[in-house]
Amino acid sequence: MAGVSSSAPTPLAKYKLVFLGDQSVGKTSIITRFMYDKFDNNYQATIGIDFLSKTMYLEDRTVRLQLWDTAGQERFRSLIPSYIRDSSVAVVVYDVVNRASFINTTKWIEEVRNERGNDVILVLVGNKTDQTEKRQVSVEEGDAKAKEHDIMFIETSAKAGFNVKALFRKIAAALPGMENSAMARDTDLIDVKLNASASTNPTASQESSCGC
Amino acid sequence: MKSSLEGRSSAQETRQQRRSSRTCTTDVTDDLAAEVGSDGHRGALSDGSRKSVTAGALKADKVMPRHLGFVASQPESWDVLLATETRDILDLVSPSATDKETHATAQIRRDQKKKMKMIDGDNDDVLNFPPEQKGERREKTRADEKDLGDAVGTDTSTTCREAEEKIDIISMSELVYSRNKSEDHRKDDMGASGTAIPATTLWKRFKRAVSKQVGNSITARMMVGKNDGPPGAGASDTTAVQPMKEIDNNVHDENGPSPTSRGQVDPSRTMPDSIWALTERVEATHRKKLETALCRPFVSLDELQGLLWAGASFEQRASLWKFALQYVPCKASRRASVTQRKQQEYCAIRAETQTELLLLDKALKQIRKDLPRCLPNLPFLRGERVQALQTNVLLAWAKRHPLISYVQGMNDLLVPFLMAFGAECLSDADTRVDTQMGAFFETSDSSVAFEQSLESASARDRLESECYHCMGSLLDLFHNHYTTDQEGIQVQVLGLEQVLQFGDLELSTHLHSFDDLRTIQYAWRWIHGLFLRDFALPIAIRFWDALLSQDRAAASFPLYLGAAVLHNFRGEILALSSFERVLAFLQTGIGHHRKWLQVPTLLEEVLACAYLFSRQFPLDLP
Repeated sequence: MAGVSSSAPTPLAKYKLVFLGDQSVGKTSIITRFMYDKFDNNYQATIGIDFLSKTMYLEDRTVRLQLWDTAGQERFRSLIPSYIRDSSVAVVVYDVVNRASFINTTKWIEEVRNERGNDVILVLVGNKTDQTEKRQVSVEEGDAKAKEHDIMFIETSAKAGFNVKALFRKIAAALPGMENSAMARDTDLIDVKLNASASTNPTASQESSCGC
Repeated sequence: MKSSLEGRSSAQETRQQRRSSRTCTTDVTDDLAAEVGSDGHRGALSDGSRKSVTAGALKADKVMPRHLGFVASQPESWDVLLATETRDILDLVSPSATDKETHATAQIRRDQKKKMKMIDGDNDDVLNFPPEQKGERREKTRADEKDLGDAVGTDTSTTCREAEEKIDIISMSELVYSRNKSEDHRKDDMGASGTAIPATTLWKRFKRAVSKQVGNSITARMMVGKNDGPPGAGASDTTAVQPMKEIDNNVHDENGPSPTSRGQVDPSRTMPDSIWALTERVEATHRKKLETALCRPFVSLDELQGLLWAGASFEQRASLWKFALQYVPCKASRRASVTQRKQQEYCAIRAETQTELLLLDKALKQIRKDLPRCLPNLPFLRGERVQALQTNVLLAWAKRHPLISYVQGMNDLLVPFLMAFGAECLSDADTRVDTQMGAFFETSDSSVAFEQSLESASARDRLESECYHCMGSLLDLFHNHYTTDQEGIQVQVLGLEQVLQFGDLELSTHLHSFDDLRTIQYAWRWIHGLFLRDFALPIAIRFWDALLSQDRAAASFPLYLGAAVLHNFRGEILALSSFERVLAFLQTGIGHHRKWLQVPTLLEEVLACAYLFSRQFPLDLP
């Protein structure tokens, strides 16, 4: 139950999500797509940590997601551990057209495991799938890495709006408690392959609207 | 930071440093002397100062723990401090009747004396103010008092009322500064440290004067009920009230004053649309003073910094910053040769970077990623030549500082320099614009003009060299902000927390009441980018003016600015009751809040408050 914030003045269950990954892999873009359904080619580089929050209305309950968008540049790494420590979900993002960013995800995953052990939902996200011709990392590779580390995996395109909602629904579906997260993870892994389009996801409602 | 004091012995040392750094005596000392009057009077002043000096030092011990090198000496209570301070002003104000003193000024002095006595018997009331407010009041008083001095010195027929009405934003802040400087000098003379001269009554007078001047205006209404909040309101030239607009950097200021009306009080003026109109409005007298100061064959840095504290137009800012960051030597005859040498130096470094591009590959890639997305509301930054120029400068700096190299956010730090020095280029290229420079930079015209002004290689070299050296001097101040652990920023954030705790306990407690909220979540970014990212650009640039006018204290000034901003938005922050709202407000709301526009004096209040905090709670940064 580490993810549930107990100091809530509102009855909403709150969860903290931290977004990790190399610079310009699209962490801010994914968050902005999720929050405002917008995309811009030139988001300013994140300095330090950005904070955003959004209420998600699921079929059976409503959750409040607090998103921590971290800066990708190595110089800012000293800030990040404390956010990992506080978060119940870590989203590790790489850029499918940048192999180095994919290789570096291992470091991020290990860092999260070191801080939180198994007490965390980890998601590997391959972003920028719209750039098909420049792709350097295949779906299979991403999937294999996720399996190796026993974490969730999904490919997205913040630019095209592909799978971003699905990503958050997957996370939300895994949230209720860590006790059944292993099961959720298995089903989700199968989901990825079937789930070519973002529109079908049995566990979540279609609507997710901004509550702030 | 060398200016902080570690007890009596190092106070002595600091004084020596101060003496050696101030080779030129400023007018301020003369002002002080004029105010004090005869020699006999100086005696009275020194007594008073000594008393309050002790009290100032005592205050530190009473309120502050010894973390982070806060200054401390013997404890004593606020009552004593206040009593001492009120005595001080009585000493200062009472019998200093010079030959010139007229009926009117005598009247003012009587008024002040009366009020002082009222305060004396009214200590409980005063004690209820948090310490920084008292300080702020004290500052205002000094300004007011200076005004009084002016009335004596300049126009013998000036009445009390007129003297009050002379107050305006710019001279206010300038006076606050010069008063503080004069304090420095006096401290030098007295051989002691701490603040002197009190306030409370005169602050009331200041408020009254401002509200009178504003007349029917909204600011007068804003002042009502402000007693428990920061004293932030009042405009000298706002007479009409318009519906407020959110500050939007993309909005070009069309209603702003034209350069010809700059500095003159125009009764028909309306609330400006953009904050540029506020920060770039420079009083004609101030402009003139700057011109004179800049033309001297041997420029006094002290004088320039005093003037810079009060702000400047973009063209003058360029020269001021170059002096403040030691790009240009004070001696006029050496300027040409020194700048030429520096330019050659830069060109050599730039040539070296071209041969070592492989080594700098990582930095170069990062710079190329960051430049197109740097401050998107400034079209001139998208120009090809400008981006090449930025790349060169950042790369050259990265080459010379291999351990730091390039850190995201440095590209932002380059922008104010580009704007200030670019404004000079634009003027040179005869593409001088009618509008104010700041607002002009937010239009797409600026991009065309800027690119044109960079057509010749010599113009590019000059601008690059200026940017490189000035940014370099700035980064030298904050070198440990960008090293691996960025410990400099961590220390500043910690310091900010401490300062806020002692400056505004209620607000600090409120912020600590949220379990998840950490100062680092918002203040870290302010300090990393020196306020450029999270604050409207004109505000950030004014902060820079203040910062660069700070001499040796500049390195720790960002933390005081941060604390001052929080303190001046205490009402807004205290009204927020959830962690998410508070953090959202502090991360994105505060720097673009419409209060910056609604309360034209807010910016100056924040600066004055930051200065006071830096005086009241000196930190010894490693």
